[in-house]
Amino acid sequence: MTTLNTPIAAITAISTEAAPRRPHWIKRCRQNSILIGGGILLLMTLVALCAPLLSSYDPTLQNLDARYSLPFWMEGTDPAHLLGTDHLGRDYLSRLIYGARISLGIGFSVVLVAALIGTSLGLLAGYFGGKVDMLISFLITTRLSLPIVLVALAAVALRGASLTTLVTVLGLLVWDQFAIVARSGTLAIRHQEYIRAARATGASHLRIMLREILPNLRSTLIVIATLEMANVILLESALSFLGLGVRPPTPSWGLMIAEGRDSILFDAWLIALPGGMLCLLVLAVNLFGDGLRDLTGTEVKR
Amino acid sequence: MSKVLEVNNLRVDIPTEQGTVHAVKGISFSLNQGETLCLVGESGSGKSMTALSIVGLQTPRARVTAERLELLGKPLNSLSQRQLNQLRGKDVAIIFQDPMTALNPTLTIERQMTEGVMRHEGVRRQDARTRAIDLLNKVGIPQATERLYQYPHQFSGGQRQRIMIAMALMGKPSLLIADEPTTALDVTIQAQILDLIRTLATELDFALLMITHDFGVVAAMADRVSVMYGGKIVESGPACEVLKSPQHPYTQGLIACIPVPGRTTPGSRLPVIDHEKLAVKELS
Repeated sequence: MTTLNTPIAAITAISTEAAPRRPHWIKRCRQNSILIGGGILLLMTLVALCAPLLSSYDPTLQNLDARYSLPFWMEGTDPAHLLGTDHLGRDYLSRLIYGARISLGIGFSVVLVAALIGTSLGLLAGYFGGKVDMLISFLITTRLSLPIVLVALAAVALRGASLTTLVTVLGLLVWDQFAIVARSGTLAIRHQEYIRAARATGASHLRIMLREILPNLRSTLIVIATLEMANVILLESALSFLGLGVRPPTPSWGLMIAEGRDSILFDAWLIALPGGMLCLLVLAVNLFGDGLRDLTGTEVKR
Repeated sequence: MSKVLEVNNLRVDIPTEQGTVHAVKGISFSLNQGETLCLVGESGSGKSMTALSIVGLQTPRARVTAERLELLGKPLNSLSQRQLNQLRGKDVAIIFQDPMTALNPTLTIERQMTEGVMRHEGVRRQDARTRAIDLLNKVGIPQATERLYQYPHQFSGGQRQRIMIAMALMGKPSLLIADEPTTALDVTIQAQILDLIRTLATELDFALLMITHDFGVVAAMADRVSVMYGGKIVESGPACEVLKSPQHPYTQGLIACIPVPGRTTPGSRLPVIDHEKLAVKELS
């Protein structure tokens, strides 16, 4: 019976020793996914923001004399173009850098639009319940039953491909996760006493939704936003690849893959480079989102 | 003494699938400035329903009717939602039962305290803050200036109830409704909180409507007491009289249920209220 004989002083000594004064989140940051993901994401964002400083060429500038110049690791490379040139002689490094702008920009703005739509709908449905909830739940299920790529294709084909159309269409299509999460979160909080207490201080319904309930959903919504962003970046590339997203000559990774398709057997690097970048970005965003999810302790069903 | 609250023949009916529940069956009372009225009764007697329906916070399904329901001469039951919002938190404030759930865990105390008064009176954030610090000092939160920026989880249960009280008093209300403000607290804290409410009521001269099931609280706080049973007021009068010589058998039963140190034998059973007998009497 050693445990019984352990002096209390020893137990208390252990418990005080094992209480380092360090915030919870720093400890959790040790988990690498958020660091790796966040690091790559930060780097790519910086590269995208500083694109004009980093690239020495205009990404749309054609130079038909220097077509299919090879990247640096191959023999017979042109030192002026570090990652070679494409079929129109455009500098591939510059195009990749500017492509990051498109991917991140579209990803970010689409998620913004979708979060706005989804969160408002979810809040309304969860807060008012009843008929409002029925209507919005119907909207959510309708949206879930629509195949995103197909609808996006149709919409872009009708409206014509442009950056704004792409953002609007995608924004109108990916809000469902936000709505579902906001709705269930609001449902759980709606009957808390502090909501009633807020009513008792004379707060209106709108104010309660925005200032009392929304802060409670913040961490979950941020996690959803990062995971949704990875989704959107892939969607944009897919649509651009199909020729219904970003219009050439704007450099988009999806578009670059499409343009390199013809030379897949001879110059595979034309596809591998933007493909790799896309892979890396989506991986980074997902890692970051997962890390964030673990950090905030939110549970998100995918 | 001016009349703060006038309630005449208040009824609360809740339609359900099994028929209508008459939660409050026509009760009347009034409250003057600086006066404390205790509504006493067991769970389900309609006392909380009464309190909530006065400020229009009853469940959305419930129907509230009253011949008169006036706060400072304003008819509460005919106000629009917007007018009601302007009233709540300014002329009338509520303290809720459970301080652990009545504060929003994601907002600082400062936000929760200043928001209402900034909206109601259009005061600047700085002025609202000064008032909040004042009130926190008054309700006995030490280092109010720093603690104002903390979150609810950084306070103990008793402190949270103190904060709730301070928050309720931000708008300088004429009527404070306290819905079992000490039920969720342990006994030593209960006494402190009651003391605090009583001191503040005297100092700030607001009318206090106290909902409780505890005759100990009545004895400590009330000027007048109304005993509720089955949605009706069965007995009311000055607190000391009701406590000393209860007339209604239910009140007698309630008071007999209180264990008294020295008189109640440890281990013996406390008296039980015979509801069947009472119900028969009520019907006849």
